[in-house]
Amino acid sequence: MKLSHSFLLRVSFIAAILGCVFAWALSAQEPADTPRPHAPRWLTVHEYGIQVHVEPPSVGQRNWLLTVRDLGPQVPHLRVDLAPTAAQLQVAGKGRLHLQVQANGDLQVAVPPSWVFAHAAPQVQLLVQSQSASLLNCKIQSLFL
Amino acid sequence: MMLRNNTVLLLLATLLGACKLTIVKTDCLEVVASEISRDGVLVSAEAVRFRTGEDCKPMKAVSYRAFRERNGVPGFQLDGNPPDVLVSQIFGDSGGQPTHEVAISSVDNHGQSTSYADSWEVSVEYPDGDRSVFSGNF
Repeated sequence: MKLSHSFLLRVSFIAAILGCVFAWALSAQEPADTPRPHAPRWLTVHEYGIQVHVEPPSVGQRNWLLTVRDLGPQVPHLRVDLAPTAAQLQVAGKGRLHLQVQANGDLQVAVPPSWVFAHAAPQVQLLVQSQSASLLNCKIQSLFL
Repeated sequence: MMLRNNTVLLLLATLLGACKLTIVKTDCLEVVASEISRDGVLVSAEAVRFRTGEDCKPMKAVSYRAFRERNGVPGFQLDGNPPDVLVSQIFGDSGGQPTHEVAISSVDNHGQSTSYADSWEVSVEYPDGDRSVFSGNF
């Protein structure tokens, strides 16, 4: 049996429409505001009102960006409200990076992607100081996953 | 079939990069999650283990909860209102005595809720009343 050209066109058109509807239905089932891998990660140390924010590489940004923020006095469970003035990051087997003070007071550093292997959290040590006092000396492996 | 399931689990664990993941480690306190799995929006861990050094204060109580931010500032509610708690506080069992090591088993970002939390909080309380609180996102 030979199918006509117009019949095949109609079937293709209906299949394309059904495909679009199916794809839309699938995407509509996903909650809009859900946790996703490879999104920015943050860790708040409530005792000192400090937040460490790590942004993975994305379009237009080839490095990982690590930022240390002072969240101010509003943080619950705050014990010592001191502004971080300096910080160092040590990535195991790679070296030490000094965070630079930004215009808004944040401390920030770019971590080369070659320092962070895909699908493997590196051993990362962060030291945050306020003047000469050490505020935080911790491992933050989970932020780089 | 079982071999295939085990292979998939092994591959998943390798892809996730960590059977044990250090959430935070300071001079005195270490919080480690083990057997973390991420299945779409559901994140779970077999256990979250809290450990303090022998030279440091023991812990009186530890807890975990998961919540959803209600404004654009990650980590705390700018308006002072509490976040939407989706997994209520789960306490570790220290046997009623201060201890240097305690774990909370089977944690996730879902609990009995119909939704999924985007943030977690762990809290450690010491016998002298001090408290260490850390929060982050999944």
